[in-house]
Amino acid sequence: MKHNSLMDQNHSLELEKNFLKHIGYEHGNLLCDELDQKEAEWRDLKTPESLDRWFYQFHKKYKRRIQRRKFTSSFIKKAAIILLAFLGIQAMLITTVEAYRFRFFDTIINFTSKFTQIDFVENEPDDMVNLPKDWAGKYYLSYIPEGYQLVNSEFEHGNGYLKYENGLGEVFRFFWISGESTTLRTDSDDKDMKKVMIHDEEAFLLKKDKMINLHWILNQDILTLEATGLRNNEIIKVAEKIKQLK
Amino acid sequence: MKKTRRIIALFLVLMAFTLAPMKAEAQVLMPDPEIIIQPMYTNINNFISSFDIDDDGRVYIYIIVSARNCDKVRITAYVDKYIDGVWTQIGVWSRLEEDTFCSLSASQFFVSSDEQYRLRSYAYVYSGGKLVESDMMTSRIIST
Repeated sequence: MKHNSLMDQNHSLELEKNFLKHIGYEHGNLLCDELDQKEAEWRDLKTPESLDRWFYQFHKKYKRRIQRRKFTSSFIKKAAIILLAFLGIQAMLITTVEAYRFRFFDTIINFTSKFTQIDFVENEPDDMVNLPKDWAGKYYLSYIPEGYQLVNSEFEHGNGYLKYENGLGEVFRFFWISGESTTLRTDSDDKDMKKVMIHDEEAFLLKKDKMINLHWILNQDILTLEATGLRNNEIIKVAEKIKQLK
Repeated sequence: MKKTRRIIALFLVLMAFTLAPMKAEAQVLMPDPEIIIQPMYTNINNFISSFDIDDDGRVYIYIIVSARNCDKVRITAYVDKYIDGVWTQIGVWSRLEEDTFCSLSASQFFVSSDEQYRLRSYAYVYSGGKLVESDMMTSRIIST
């Protein structure tokens, strides 16, 4: 049982290590002696020229590959830092300097305009035919419900209205109001208010008695449609087809 | 880890620079128009008022009142200037329509710069010759 003790085990491990060290040392000495003995013999040994050339080319390529790898890695790091700094400065300038912002967006618009764009255009009749000849109001209706005719219109500095009647006493009006201080007050019972979307804008559809009102904000302008003889879907269709004069 | 933290910190700083001025700009350049929906009228359907002063000091007023169950609608508008701590009336416009709809527009009035102005808009609705409803609105103060 004695040889199984921990001390015995460590002792045998040390012996093995020393034995291996000794063998390695002696083997190294033997190799060195052999190399010394054969040095003169090997010095006269001739290697083929093709092998020299191959080795020279291989070494050259290897060095070049290492250099290229080093250069690429350092170049990518520098380029990334410069790009990040450039983007950061751009973002700051765009948001803080108005003149730079305009110039930046102008550049984008110029780039875009160089492309040819083909859009699908709905086959509609001339939608401005019902407006007065000298119409310069900001908006107009490109869809008018059947039976309605324009009876009155007005525009003044980004504000205006259009009034349509159908001959049965039913009226609908479209008005748009802009300005630094613009407020609309409208009447409704809560239960008759619905939120609808006119393209991407949230609109309020309100119903009281026979009157339907549709209000929404577009480009900081308040747009309103009020009607007595139209259904909800029809008034929404009118709103969706509103166009801005270019 | 340190490098990642530095990159995240740099990104957050850049984001802070980017976001703050955008928010400020939207508030300063164009205040949002207001749509107020409330069950408060008996006859008035819509009452809209717009007030603007351009760089040359030209005043633009546009007011619309549409109503129901009535035969006359009147709009009266006053432009006030803030003088020595008091709002003083400097312009008045009025229009009466024998209809359920009335609009008032004015753009031939000029004001001086470095002052504060506001618009007071009044809507009156008549039925059978009697006033059945009225309302009043005061605009935001515009500094020239």
